[in-house]
This record gives sequence, structure tokens and C-alpha cells, in this order.
Amino acid sequence: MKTQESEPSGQTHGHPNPVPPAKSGGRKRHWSEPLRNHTAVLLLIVLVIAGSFLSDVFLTPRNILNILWAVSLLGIVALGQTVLLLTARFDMSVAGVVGLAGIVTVLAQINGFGLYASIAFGLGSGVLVGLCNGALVLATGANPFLVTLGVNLLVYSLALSLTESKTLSATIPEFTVLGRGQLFGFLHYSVILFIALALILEFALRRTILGRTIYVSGLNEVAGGLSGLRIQITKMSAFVLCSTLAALTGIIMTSRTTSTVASAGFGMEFDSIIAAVLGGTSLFGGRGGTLRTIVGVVVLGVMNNLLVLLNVPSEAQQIAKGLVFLAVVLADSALRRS
Amino acid sequence: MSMKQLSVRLVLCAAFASLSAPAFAQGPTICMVHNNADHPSITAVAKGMTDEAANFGAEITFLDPAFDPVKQVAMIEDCISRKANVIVVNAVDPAAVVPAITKAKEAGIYVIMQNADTTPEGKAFTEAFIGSQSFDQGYAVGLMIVKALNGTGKVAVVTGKTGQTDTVNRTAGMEAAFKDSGATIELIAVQPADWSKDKALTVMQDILTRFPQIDAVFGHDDPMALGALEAIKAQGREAEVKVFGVNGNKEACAAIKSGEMYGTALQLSYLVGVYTVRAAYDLNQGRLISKTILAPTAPVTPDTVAQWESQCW
Repeated sequence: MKTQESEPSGQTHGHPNPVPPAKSGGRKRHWSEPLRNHTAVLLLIVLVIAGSFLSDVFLTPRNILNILWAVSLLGIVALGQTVLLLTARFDMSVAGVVGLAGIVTVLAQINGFGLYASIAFGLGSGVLVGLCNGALVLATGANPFLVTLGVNLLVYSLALSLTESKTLSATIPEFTVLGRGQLFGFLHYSVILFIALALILEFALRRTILGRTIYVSGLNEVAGGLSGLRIQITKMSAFVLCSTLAALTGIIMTSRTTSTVASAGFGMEFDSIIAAVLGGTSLFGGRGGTLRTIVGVVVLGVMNNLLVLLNVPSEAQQIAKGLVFLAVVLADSALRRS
Repeated sequence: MSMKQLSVRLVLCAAFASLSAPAFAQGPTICMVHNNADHPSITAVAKGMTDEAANFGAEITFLDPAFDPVKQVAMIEDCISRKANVIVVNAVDPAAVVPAITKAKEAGIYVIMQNADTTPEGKAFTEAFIGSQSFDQGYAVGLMIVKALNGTGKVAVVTGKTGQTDTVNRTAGMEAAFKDSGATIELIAVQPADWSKDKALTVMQDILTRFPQIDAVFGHDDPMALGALEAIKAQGREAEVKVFGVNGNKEACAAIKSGEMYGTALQLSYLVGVYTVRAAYDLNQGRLISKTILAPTAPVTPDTVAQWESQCW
């Protein structure tokens, strides 16, 4: 029991060891263990080396900054998804929330609310959906995949009705700073926000009681030895966090493109899970962290970037993405068994 | 079998009973299966249908499969069991709808294809195609590009979802226009952005990184063209790259007016909706209708934007 609780703490920061120390301490490690634990880092190195040979613009500072700007949005969604995955649950409604939050923000602006108030409305819509998801999953014990898939449909339909299926444009000019603004003229705010959130969440996960309870609730809630109530509140917070970060993403995306539609977040539900699991967070809960998700997200971003830079035909791009998805899921299952 | 016949009779009785109430005003019941309702073009089509339905006493049910070909088939089958007089389909996948529309034809229901047609084999089971054809839209954009570049230059395309009818045909139409006008235009990149403005921004950013000289970019719809424009502006290359789209969205027409965008192929979507209801009415009255009813595509450029602005949606 003790091993499970101590798992998240006591490890070096950036590279949490997914294997409980008390277990692995007495046994000789298999040679392939570091390989399996850092799949994303290895994949990133391979991609970067290959990319630098195949394209002469790939390693330019501008391209690297472009990649970071491109992935920062998916990245923020993936951070929330990571925390929820640690509790062995996940959220398919993030796709709908990305659309809804942008629409709520723009609608607030159209109705005369100020910049900060409109953003608060957008974030608030995410909090509400998160509470719904959490309440439904925790009260009924139903499969979180299916519950949040259902909620996603409701959220999407709500967003469609709010917009009457039209594209809505932001009305406050300063709003675009969030998505397009750059620090020192080259580093986008959304990139800084993504990295900062990853650091804060990693710290909270490893150094606070709430964070450690998140790991425990994913590993084995009964053996956690904690009161049922605290576990419930912890899981609820994870749902709310995930949905709120999706809402934040929707708001930044709207700021970046100045307009939004209900389907703006389509695909992000799967991509965020792929990024998190690729980074090394387990689909089965209790293992992983948000710093790892940065690597997972960057791998996806580098892959997408290279596919365009190398002018790979779109049909073949689907194959590459499908293969990565399969490899990630199979590797995660294999790790769990070992 | 007999149960089925009985239920068919019951429904027919009910239909006749309801028919007698508003006397002659009863129009056809129409089941409209979109490809994805979340698009301004579809909103305009739906508005045209709803407005015209009021004139003909038609009743319309709108169904939205959100680009899911499997869902679309299920929805067509749902329309068959509702015993609609006319089913209108905007195909997500031209081939995937064939079994479902065959079933509809066998059940004695008229099928009209709207905006995205089915395959040549599937056409045997449909009464008409109504819409602006995506090939023609691509062709119109191709001609605008040839004119804007004086017949020579490098062009990139930011496409819709891979494999979809509109995606395939808009690129093909553009290439045909290049060929027919004898232009020496080099197609340097064709990359998907899945109809998403944000993805178009990212993809265009990468295309700009890769190619130091791009004369024009064709976004398969206006939101993607505007997304690409954002990337171009972020890199300060708006003087170099001319941006083209398809649709005729209000935002795009405004961008053309202000000189940020160079052209769009305006789909007169409202008219497509109007034509659809008229055709459905005629079919239901047993009249013959034309196999192909095309709504015009208008090239909107800085020269013509004043003329078409009021039609942008």
C-alpha cells in the first residue's frame, strides 16, 4: 500500500520513474526499461535528426518557434487530459468545450461585455461542463468515455444553437493579443502559458496532497486508505481542471483566428489523449505527469510540421498518424503488463 | 410481411387524414441530410429551403451527420422509415451513400443530391443533382488565379478533409482551369487543413517556411483562406502571396474589399435551397424535372466585389 502512495514523490523532477521504487529497488532492471519509459524523447530525437537531414529549413529558429506556437493549443488541452488520465479517466468532451468556450466568449463580447468579463464567461462554460462530467461519472459510475462522449454531443449542439451554425467573430481588437501576442517579439504568449501550466501542474501533482491523491485515485482508490469523500473531490477537481483548460484553449484559439465555429475543437479529444499517452502517461491511471506531456505534444507537432515541409501527400499523412496512434496504445499496454 | 403491410396502410391512412385538413396547401415532406450543419454555406442552404417551404407548404426535417459517412447512411435509412416524400442528400462520401439511396428508391422515395453528388452508379437511383458543383468552384478559382498571376507562378493549396468530394473536386477544377487556359503555373504544395481555420493557419505557416516564393494560395473554403491569410500576415508576406477561397462568406468579401484577399468563388447557397424545395414539389406532383439544376458560381474579386457583396453570406 505504502509503495503506491510514495510513487509520485521522491523522484527526480523531469523524469518521474513510473515503476514504484520499493518494487524495482531489489530487482535488476531490464535493459529495455529506460527505452520504454522514454519512448517520446527517443522518438523526438529520431524525428529531429531525420528532419534536419531531410529539410534545410527544419532546424531554423523560426520553424521551431512555429512548431511551438502550433502545438501550444493542443498542449494545453493535453495537460488537462493528462491529469484526468492519472485518475484513470478521460474526457471526450474537450472537443465540444473548445468550440463552446470560444463561442461564449465572443457572444459575451457581442453583447457588450468587456474583455476580461468575456474571457471569464468562456472559462466559466468550461467549469460548468467539467462539473457536469464529474457529477455524471462519479454519481453513476458509468463509463467516463461514453459519458463524456454524450456530453460532447450536447455541448456541440448547444454551441451550434448558440451560433445558429454561423461563424462568429470577436469584437474587441485587444482580444487577439492572447493568441497572437509575442514576448520579445518572437515567443508567443500561448507557448509561455502552455509551458508554465505544465510546470505548475507537475509541481502540484508531486508536491501537494491533492496532486498525490490524484495518483492514488488512479492506481487503486480503495488501497489508498483515504476517505471516499476526498477521493471523490479529487476526481471531481480533475474533471473540472480538464474542462477548464479546454475552455482556455478555445478562448486562445478564437483569439488567434479572431473567429470561431462550434466544430473548432474537433479531433482534439483524440489528439490530446494521444499526446498524453505518447509522453508516457498511462491510459490506465497512476503513471505519468504533465512535463512528459510537453514532449508528447512536441513529437506530434514536429511530425505534422515535417509532413508539410516534406510535402507528403495527405493520403500518406493519415497512415503516419494512424501508425503513431497504434504504436502509442500498444506500447502503453505492454508497459502496463510488465 | 403482413404486419409490415398493415403498418404501411396505417401510415397511409394517417397521411390521408392529415392531407384532408389543409386542403390543397399540402406540399411534400422533405428529409434533408446535410454533410455537416456547422457551416455558413449549409446555414444559407437551410434558410433558402425553409423560406421556400413556406411558399409550397412543404415540411422539412433537417438531419446533421457532422461529416460522418456511417451516420449519414443511418440518417438516410431513418428518413426512409419516416416515409418522407423526398430525401435530399449532401453526400459526405459519394460511394458510401449508394446502398442507402438504392433502398430509398426501392421504397418509392425520390432522392435529390444536393451540392455533393453520389457516384455515377449511385446516380441511377437519384432524380436530380442540385447545387453548385465543387469542380466548377475550383475551376472559377483557377481562372481567377490565372488572371491574377498573368498565367505564371507558384501556387499552394490548403485543402479540406482528404478524400471528400469537395476536396477532390476543388483541386481538380483548379488544375483543369490552369490547363485549359494554357497557364504555366506550378502547384508547389497541396496540404490538408480539414476545413479548420486554425489548422489552415498552422499548415500555411509551414508551407511559408518551406517555400521562399509563393504567388498564390487557394484555401478550399473561405474560413481556411482567412486562416492562411493570418499566417501570411504573421510573416509579413501579404504583398507576395495572393489569397483565394471558395464560399463568398461575409468575412471573405470584406477582406476582398479591403484588399487583403484576392478572390473567392461565391456559391449562391440560398438559391440552392430554393431550387431544392421547388424540385421536391415538382417531383411530388409527378412532374418531370431536369437531371442537373445548377446554381451559378460567381467570381468575386476586387473588381467585382461591389456587384456581389449583397449576396455574400
